[in-house]
Amino acid sequence: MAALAAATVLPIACVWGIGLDAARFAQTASATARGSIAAGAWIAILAAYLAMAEAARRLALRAPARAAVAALAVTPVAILLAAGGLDHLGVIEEYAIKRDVFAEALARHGQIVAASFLPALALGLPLGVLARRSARMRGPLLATLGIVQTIPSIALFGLLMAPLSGLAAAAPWIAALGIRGVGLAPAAIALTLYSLLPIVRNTEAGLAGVSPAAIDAAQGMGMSRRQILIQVELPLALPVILSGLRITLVQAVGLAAVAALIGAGGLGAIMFQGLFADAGDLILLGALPIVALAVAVDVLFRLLASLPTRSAA
Amino acid sequence: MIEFRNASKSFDGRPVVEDLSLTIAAGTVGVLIGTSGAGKSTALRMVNRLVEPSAGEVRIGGVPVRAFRPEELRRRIGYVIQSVGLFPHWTVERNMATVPRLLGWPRRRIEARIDELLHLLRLDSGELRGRYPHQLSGGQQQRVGVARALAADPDLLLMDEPFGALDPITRAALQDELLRVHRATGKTILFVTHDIDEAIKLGQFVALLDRGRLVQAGPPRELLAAPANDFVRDFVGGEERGLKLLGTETAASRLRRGERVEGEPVPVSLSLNRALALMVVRGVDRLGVVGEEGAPLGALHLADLAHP
Repeated sequence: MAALAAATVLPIACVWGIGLDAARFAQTASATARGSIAAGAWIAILAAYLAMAEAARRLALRAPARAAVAALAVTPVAILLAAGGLDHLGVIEEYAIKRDVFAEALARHGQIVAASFLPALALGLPLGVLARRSARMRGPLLATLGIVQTIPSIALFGLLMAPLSGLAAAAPWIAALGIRGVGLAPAAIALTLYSLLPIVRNTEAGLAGVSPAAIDAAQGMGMSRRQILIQVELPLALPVILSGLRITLVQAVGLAAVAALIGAGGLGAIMFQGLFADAGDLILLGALPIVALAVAVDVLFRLLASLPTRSAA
Repeated sequence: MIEFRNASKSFDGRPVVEDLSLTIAAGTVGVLIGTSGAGKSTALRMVNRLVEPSAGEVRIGGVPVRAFRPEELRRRIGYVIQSVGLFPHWTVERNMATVPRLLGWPRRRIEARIDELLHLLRLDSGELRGRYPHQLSGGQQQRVGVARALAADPDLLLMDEPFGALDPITRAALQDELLRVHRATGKTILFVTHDIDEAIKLGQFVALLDRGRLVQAGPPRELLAAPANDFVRDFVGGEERGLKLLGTETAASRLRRGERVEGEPVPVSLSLNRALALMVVRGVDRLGVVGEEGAPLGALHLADLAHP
């Protein structure tokens, strides 16, 4: 426990120290100069968080407690941020300049993720059920989705550009819907395809893990197949399905960054802008929120999956 | 009344049940017994159409089960399995309400029925209703399983090795419980087991299956006293079947009325195999017998155990 406390304090101290340093630097340097975080400081922060994660693991905390620890680690940094303690850090200065662009990019990022997650969910759950029900479909289905996963994201975006722009050119009403070779449409389609595998695979695995005795009893008591699926199988498979959704969302948050390359926008756009302009702080302004978003989704879904599944009696 | 009429079932061309004809009278406990793979579970599952016979048919009360929609048929038949099959994500109460809810009973009627069943199966001590299955002992889980099967008050109860996974003491207690519930409700029960002692204790009618075929059927005494062949004799315990035979009777049946014997008396309801064991333990050849109220009734002689 003491180790955990120490490990929690450590990254906060690191970040705070960096903030103070940056402020000192800003007083002495010119207005256009930026105080960036050097490699040494990154490694110190990383090591501190790793120590914290390890301490939390050793304590074998349950998911809610782990989420609490994560919140504990993040909250002081957030307070420091809000209080202006890091205002002179390059990344924050960039944010101050690009406040509007950033808000738009963040919303766009969420939009890309949602536009791929919802169709993937609507398609993936039934496909997962189908994969469980039909042994003949299971192999080819999972193999196909597995192959999709191995296509590099940039390649898949590129592959979708040509047919989509052709489609938009051939049918104006499709173009009117906003579907073009670049932008949201190819990004959402590609991310949906990537999202299917974890959802389908985990739905199938979750259903496969339901005790045969529970299904036999449900059948023997006169539940229809539909009732068995909705009342017994899906609730019992829920933790595994949720873990599939967690993988999907974390993956989508990351891949949505790459979608900026085909004009989909989002936080990736800021990141690539920084990359092409060789502006490290701009890269961070795009990348750090992506990491934070992915971690937040991860923690949230782990928390959800750990809640006891109850039904309204 | 359950009737099997020349019922057969093959899986992938391999016969599991062959030409089974059998009648279990209404209100009795019928036991299907045999080694694993004898086809007894398959036969049981024909009754609620979890298995459809390849040939022949099963009738309940004279009506072929094929005449009912499977779901509707099953909601009218209680079903208990060895691994209990309680739904782990539902409370005891919600589990017990399964069939009544499927039948669309109003909430108040379900509540009242659950109270009744918790009482019948002696589950009303403590707050069991709101617990989840994993919070119960094995014996409690199986009691809930039986209560759940009885929930919609079916006339017929199918039990597939329900007590197989329990320790001997819990199993004996639940067997007594089942007999009590049977006396109280008068349900027709079809019970599958591989344990001959359980079959003798519970069954008014026992059918021994071997590799899908019926070998011998009748009251347990009949199988013990007159095994049809070597397989039956071995299955019912070889020479030890004599002791099991004694187990089917109580002191009342060999009582010498009016005779007095020194030493601690035994109740008239004591089974004869236990009486014999007691004589060996005490080193005596006769025991005093008393009635339910403790009034002396007579004596039991060692010699009478061998010759009725």
